[in-house]
Amino acid sequence: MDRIGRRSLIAMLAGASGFGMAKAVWGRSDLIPPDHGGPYGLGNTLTYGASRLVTGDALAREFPRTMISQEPFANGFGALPEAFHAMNDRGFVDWRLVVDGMVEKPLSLSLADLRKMPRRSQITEVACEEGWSYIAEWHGTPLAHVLDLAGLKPGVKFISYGTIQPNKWDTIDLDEAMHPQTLLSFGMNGGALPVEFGGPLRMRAPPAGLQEPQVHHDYHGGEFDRVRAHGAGQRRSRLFVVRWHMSPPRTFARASRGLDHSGTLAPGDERRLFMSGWIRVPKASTPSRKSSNVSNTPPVFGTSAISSSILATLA
Amino acid sequence: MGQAVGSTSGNLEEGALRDVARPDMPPRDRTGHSIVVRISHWLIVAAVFALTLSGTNILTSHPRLYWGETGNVNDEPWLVIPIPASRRSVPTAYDFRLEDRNGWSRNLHFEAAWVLVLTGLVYGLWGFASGHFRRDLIPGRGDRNWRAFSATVAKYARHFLRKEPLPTDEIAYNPLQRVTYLVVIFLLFPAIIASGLAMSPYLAAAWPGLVEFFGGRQSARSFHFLLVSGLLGFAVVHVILVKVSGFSRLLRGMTIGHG
Repeated sequence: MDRIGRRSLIAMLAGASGFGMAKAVWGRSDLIPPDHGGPYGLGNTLTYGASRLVTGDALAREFPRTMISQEPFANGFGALPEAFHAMNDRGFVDWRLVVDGMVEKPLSLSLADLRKMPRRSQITEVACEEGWSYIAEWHGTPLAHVLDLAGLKPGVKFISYGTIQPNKWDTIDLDEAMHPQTLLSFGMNGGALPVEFGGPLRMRAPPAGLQEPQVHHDYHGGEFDRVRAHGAGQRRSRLFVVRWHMSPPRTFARASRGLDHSGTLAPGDERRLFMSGWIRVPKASTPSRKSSNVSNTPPVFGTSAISSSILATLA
Repeated sequence: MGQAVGSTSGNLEEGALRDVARPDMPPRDRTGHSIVVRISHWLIVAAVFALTLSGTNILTSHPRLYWGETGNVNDEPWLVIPIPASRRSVPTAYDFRLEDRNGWSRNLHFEAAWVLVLTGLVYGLWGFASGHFRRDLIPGRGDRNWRAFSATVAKYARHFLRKEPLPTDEIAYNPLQRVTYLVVIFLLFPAIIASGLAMSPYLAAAWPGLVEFFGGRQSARSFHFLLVSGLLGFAVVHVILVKVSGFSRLLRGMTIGHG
């Protein structure tokens, strides 16, 4: 009995637990991430599915006021467009958040509109995938409230949001969007949200698994002016480029690699960017490999080409 | 380390048969490892290599380590790793910036971590079920004392200092080696995996106690780095000791399964 018995007992236990897991996973298409293909698809699928199963609808940790970081780190972002500075000068009175896409009632909301909505404050941690982190108190209105006002059409699976910079955008899935801790945040540590922390409005999505989009968002500067709901049946992989920052489909990975945060080209990047097929560097303004990156006319690297392609898949 | 391990019963029988059939043959070198040990060993080697490569890449995003829950460039690090960074916002001693390779690095890190975890689970279950841990790794009753350990240390010290040859016919792990393997398998790897999981925002929401166990998210990150450094130190010593104990013989034992 002893050895064979123990062996078969363990085999039976392993088989039973495997069967139990398979049964739990079976039919849960929401456990399969959109980036399940490619060389990293297996790892991404396991990570996503396991995280979802383990975390369920747990809330992200909230911290006591004493743990608020004295010096939160404002991750830099590139030069903002002139239009943004103009709005900033006017106190963002003419700034609008546009909610459109697969919604019953498209919205155009001012900051004042958002401030009148149900408010939530939470002390949560911004933990960047790069390794740094800080804790702050965030004030805002739950994204779920805004989406309810707009009325999502049946079949919506993902929410993407863009910023005033055409190539800075992000996507979260509906579970994350409707999570009670996911805020459209217009305030920080008791005051208005500073521009360097994403003002006038940032997506603050601390809960389970939201670090990626949040981080990416933070990384690119927080301000955004458009929320768009969209459904399945689109070319999702491309949409999820940013949602799954850790696993961008190769096309976009190639395109985005070498862009620094301001969206300009670093020396030596033009060849790689050019080969990506996504970014077309006009030959006339292509900096030579030898030249320094100090260039009076920064190369046009076709942000519009990227964003229009992406938006086309959203539309 | 890397002395021969006791063979599986199948190999023993086969060897015994051959010894009977050819009594003139020298005693069979029982360096061979079971197929489970061989496959899991190399899967884990590959996974640790990929994890180290991608982990180093990820570390270049922010080569500073902190204690506690939070830490960023405005906080005091306990360690600044002297490597260049891939972020302009991180001060380093270098006047250049590495490329941002977090994309594939994180992909590879998580995928390789799954290979490590799943392989470790299979190996662990098999190790208990087959008696591998009890037979090959837990020191014998007479060897669970400092005398046994110091005798082993003295043997290797004489080899390295006085060039005394090591016995090449030992078929079992020595006591120190057994304890080292047990520590790596049951303490180091689980702690590395746990500290890595404590950095996951998903799992921090599900199991806040895991983050608190390490003393905060940044502490978990620091422990992850320190524990991995320990593992890599083990790997270096392991390879050196395999080398001095007969590299090709032990390599054959860990690949084709016999010396």
